[in-house]
Amino acid sequence: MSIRKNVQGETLLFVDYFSATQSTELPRLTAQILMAAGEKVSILKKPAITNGELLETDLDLWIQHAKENVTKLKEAGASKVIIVNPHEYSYFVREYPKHLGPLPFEVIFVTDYIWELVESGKLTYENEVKMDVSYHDPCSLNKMCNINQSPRNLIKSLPGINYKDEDPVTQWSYCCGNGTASFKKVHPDIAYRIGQRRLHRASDLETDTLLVACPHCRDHLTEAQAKSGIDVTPIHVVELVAKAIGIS
Amino acid sequence: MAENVVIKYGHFEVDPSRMQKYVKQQIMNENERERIINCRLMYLDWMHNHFTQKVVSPPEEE
Repeated sequence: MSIRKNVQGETLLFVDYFSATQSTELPRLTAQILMAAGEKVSILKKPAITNGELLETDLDLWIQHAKENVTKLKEAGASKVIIVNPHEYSYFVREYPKHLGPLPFEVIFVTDYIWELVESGKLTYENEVKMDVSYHDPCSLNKMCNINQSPRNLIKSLPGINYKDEDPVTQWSYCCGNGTASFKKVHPDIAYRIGQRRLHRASDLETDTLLVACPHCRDHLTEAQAKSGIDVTPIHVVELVAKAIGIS
Repeated sequence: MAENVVIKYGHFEVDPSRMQKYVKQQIMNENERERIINCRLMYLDWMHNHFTQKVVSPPEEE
């Protein structure tokens, strides 16, 4: 797979540090899906830090990094920036304009962009995905950015899937337990119990798979599932889309 | 209150200057404003879907 770097005036995939180091399958699959749809993919070689813990503890330093990111993306000539991690998406949409003013590019979350490709017919499914699934709305996406339809649209469009929906407003009181910044590090036991409760809710719907659209939720729920042994497997929506398209 | 209600972006809004004395002010961008309005509408739908057993008709005019 070849990904071109810093090409002027194109759609740019923003890969944050968490996605680049601890959840690498998400940006890789996203890039493959975009290329399968005939899109050109560029990435920043070295983005600045977007870390939530730093936002909580040293706002001035965090803003410096934010400025660096916007400058680099602008210099790369990005007109659209696709973000794979909803935590970073919430920073770009909510925090960056607060401190830096309007951004010189459009910011799009990955499921919104992929759903546009599916809807316009640029992406077609080849494989059936025979699974009983429900969907977990990540806090940073549903509560903080009000994005809850595109992941549902993507899931419902997958051939062969049995989807049981829980209302996004009902899920305002749900959380995977990870939190958006340092919560899990400060309260690991509470985080684990919240994760267990979320998996039990998915199990109550008689589903064996809990789809998520956030790598942090996936990470934490996978850990909670392994520790508790609850028979619900957390999977990222993009992974299922890739599977249906035929990307291994 | 009615005389100080303004219409902004097609929505009713209390004149912001009246609120500044009582409510801590914060910076909010357009995206945030849209999100809050959407969430209010979503919550209203959710309440109706979950708790409305029947719709009461208005009284007929005499």
